[in-house]
Amino acid sequence: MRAVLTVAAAVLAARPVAADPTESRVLTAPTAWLPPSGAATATLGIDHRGDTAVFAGASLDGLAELEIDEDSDVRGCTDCAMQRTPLRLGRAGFRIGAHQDWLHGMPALVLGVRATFAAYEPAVDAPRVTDAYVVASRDLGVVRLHAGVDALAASVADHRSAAALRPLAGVELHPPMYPRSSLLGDLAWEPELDAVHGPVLRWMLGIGVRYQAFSWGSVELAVRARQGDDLGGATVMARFNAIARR
Amino acid sequence: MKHASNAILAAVLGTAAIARAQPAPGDRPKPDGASGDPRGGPAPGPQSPYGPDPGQPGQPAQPGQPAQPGQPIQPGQPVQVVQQPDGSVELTPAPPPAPRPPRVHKMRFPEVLNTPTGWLLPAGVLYSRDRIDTGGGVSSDNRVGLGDVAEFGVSTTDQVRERQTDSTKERAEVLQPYVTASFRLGVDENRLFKGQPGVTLGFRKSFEREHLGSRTRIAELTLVASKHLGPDVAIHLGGSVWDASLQENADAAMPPDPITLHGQGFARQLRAFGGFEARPLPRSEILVDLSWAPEFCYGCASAAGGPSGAMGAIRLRPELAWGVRYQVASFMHIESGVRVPDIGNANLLDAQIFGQITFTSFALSDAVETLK
Repeated sequence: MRAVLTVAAAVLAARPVAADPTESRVLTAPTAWLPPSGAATATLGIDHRGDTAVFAGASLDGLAELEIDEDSDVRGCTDCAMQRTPLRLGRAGFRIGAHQDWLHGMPALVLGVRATFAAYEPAVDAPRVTDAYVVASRDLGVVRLHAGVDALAASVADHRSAAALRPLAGVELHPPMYPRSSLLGDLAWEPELDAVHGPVLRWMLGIGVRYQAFSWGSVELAVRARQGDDLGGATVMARFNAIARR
Repeated sequence: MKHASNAILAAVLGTAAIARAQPAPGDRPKPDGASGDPRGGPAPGPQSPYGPDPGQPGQPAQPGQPAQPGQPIQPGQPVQVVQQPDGSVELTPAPPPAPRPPRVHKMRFPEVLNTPTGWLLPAGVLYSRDRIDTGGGVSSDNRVGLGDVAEFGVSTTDQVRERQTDSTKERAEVLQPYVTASFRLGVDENRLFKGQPGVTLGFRKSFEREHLGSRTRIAELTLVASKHLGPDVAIHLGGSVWDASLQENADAAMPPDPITLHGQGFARQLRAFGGFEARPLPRSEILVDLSWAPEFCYGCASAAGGPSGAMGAIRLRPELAWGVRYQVASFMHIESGVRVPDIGNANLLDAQIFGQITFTSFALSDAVETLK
C-alpha cells in the first residue's frame, strides 16, 4: 500500500511537458490531444491480416480537428457463429476541446464525434457506426492518462441500436531512460454488426509500443484483442504516424 | 544698330536658355530639392512649432481646408471659381481633397451554422458558402448585402428531409437540391441606441420541388436578435413561422389537395431557435446553434387521410449543430463541425460531420464606396 501511494505521489508530482502531445489516439481509444494550429497529421497502418488503416487530420487553429479515415476496426457478419469480416468504413471525425492547463491544473478535454460516410465491404448491408465521446487526458511526465465516456450507435441492414455508453481508458508510460519510446495500453469499444440480430458492442484491448523515430514521425507496434475472440484471434499491427507543422 | 543687334542676340539667347530650362510639355514638373537635387523635395522652410500657417498666401492649402485667393495654381490642380463683388470671377485653387481613411472591412456573418443571425452583410458585400457533409448533403448559399439594411440570397439547402413511412427503423433521406430564395432586412447592432441588438426580419421561400410524384414547398419567416456580450461573445435568439406544403400524386389527373403546415394550426408552425458564438482565439470562433428543418412523410398522410392524417405528413425537426469557424484569409473562412439532424429523438446515428468554406468579397463594396 505504501509503495502504491509513493508511486501515486511521484506520478502526481511529476511536471507535465510544456506543450501537449499530438497523437489523437492511444491505439484505438481517442485522446484529448489536439494538433497545434496549422498542423496536419497522417497515419498509415496495417495488421498481420493485411487490413489497412489510413487517417488524415487537419487542425483548426489548435481549437479543433477535422479527421477523415478509412479503417477496418468494425467487424460484421451474417452468421456470427462463423467468421466475422472486417468492414472497411470511411469515417469522418470532428474533435473540439481545450488544451491541458487551459485552466490551472485542468486536463486536456475533447468532445469528439465520428460518423460513417462510406462502406467499402459488401459483406453486410448498410453498415453505419457513429460515436460521440468526451475524453480527458493529462500528461504527468512519466505517464500520460486518458479516460472518457463513449456513446456508440450503430445500424446494419434494418437493425438499429440506440446509443449506448461505454468507458474509454488509456495509459502511456514514458521511461526516462528511453526518451523516444513509450509503452501504450488502452480500452476501447467497437460495434460488431450482426446482420441478423443487430449491432452488439464489443470491447477491444490494445497494448503496444511507440518509437519516436523522427521529430515529425513515430512508429507503433501493437497487439489488439477483441471480446469474443480467442487469443489466436488477436491482431498484430504496425502504424506510422506523421505530423506536418506550419 | 550694333547695340540693337547685341540686344536682339542677347534676348534671343536668353529666351532660348529660358525655354530650354522649361520642362517638356506633358511632363509633370518636379520640385527641386534644397540643394538643387531634382530628385529631392522642396527646400524645407522655417517650421513653426505650431505647424504651418494655413492662411499664409502662396502656401498650398491643407487637405480639407479652403484655399486662399492669390495662391498659384499648379498644373493639374483642381480649381474653383470665386465670384468677386465687382462681378468678375477669379480662379483659385480648390482645396485638395482630404485623404480617405482606410476602409475597415467589418464582417458580420448572416448565419451561425444553420440559423440566421441578427446581423446583415455590409452593403455590396458578396458572400458564398458551400458545404458538404458525411450524410451526402451538399449545399450552397450565395448572398449580397444591400445598403447595410438588407440582403438578398439564393441557396440550395440539404436540411429538408423525406421519408416514406413513420417507422423508426426508416432513415429520413435528404431531399436535395432544394432551392430557396431569401430576403432579409434589419438594423445593425447599436444603430438606433446603445445596447440595441442587431435585429433582422427574414423571409425564405423555396421553389416547388417535385420528387417521387410528390410536390413540396417550404417557406420560413424569421425574426432574430443578435447581441454581443463583450468583444468576443455573442448570442442569437429568434423565432420562426414555418409553412410547408405536400401534394402527393401530383401528376395524377385529379391530384389530391395539398397538405399544408398552416392547416395544422399556428402552434405547429411556430418555433424558437438560437445560437452562440465565442472567439477564444483571434482567428477562430466556436459556434453552436439550434435550428429547425421540415421533414415530409409521404406514407403518413395517405395512411390516415383527412386533416388528422395530415398531422404527421409534415413535421419540423430540431437540429443541433456545433463547430468551429477558422479564418484562413481575409476573404476565406473554413468551418467544420457536427450536425445532429434530429436531436429531439437523440438520434446519434444520423449525426453528420460537415465541412464548409465561405468566401466574402468586399470588392463591389469598395468599388461602390469609391464612386461616392
